[in-house]
Amino acid sequence: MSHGARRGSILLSKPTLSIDVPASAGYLKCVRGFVKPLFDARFDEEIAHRLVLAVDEACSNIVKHGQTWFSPRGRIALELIDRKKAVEIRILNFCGENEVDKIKPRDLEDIKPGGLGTHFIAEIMDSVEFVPDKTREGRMQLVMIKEGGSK
Amino acid sequence: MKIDKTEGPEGVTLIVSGDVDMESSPKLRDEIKKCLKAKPGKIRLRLHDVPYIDSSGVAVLIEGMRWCKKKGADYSLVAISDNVKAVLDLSKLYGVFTVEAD
Repeated sequence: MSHGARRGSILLSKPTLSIDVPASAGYLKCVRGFVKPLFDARFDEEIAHRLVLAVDEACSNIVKHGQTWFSPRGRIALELIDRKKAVEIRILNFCGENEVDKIKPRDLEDIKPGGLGTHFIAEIMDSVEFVPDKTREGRMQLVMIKEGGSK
Repeated sequence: MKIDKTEGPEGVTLIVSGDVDMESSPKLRDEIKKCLKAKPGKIRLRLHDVPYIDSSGVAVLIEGMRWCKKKGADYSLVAISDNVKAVLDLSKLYGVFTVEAD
């Protein structure tokens, strides 16, 4: 199958794709496997790898903090919107309104384990913002945008 | 993720293959800890066959480095894959580790 045909069959025919899995570390590989072909079709290898990492780190946050952000464990619900000039990734029900301020990159000069995920997301994506989740009062969606790529 | 271990006069080499992510990184952490109990002169992590590593994996690499330093053991990353290098670059940590060719 040619690159163009693959893009045509997967991306162009279904511009919005979604996945919904339990918020458990064992399912992160499923999420990576879901987004990777789409990023591969649109971006070069290095950027595609970085985008998979950013999505994975965002989903890892839900797994890590799921006990406080969700009741009970919760789910990872992700939408990928393939726009003409950008790819938009929405992670639904990401966190509570009052938790947004806690999510920020740390100082990398301090060499210590942990806290790198938010830095990766900020570094990789062109835009990262939290927007109210209209279907869930008091909850926020994480919206990440990467511009460019061939389409 | 799979971890094989080889032991020589210099120390221990952990040969890691597969994704090092939030699910699998605790296994690597445990294996490094286990190795340190035998007080090796050196621990090497071979990461040539690691196609993917996330921040939890990088955290384990840092922890391993710290533990080895505390125990007086040398520590190095060996033959790291391009994707591992890319993530270490992104975290601005590449220069922090001793990295060896195969």
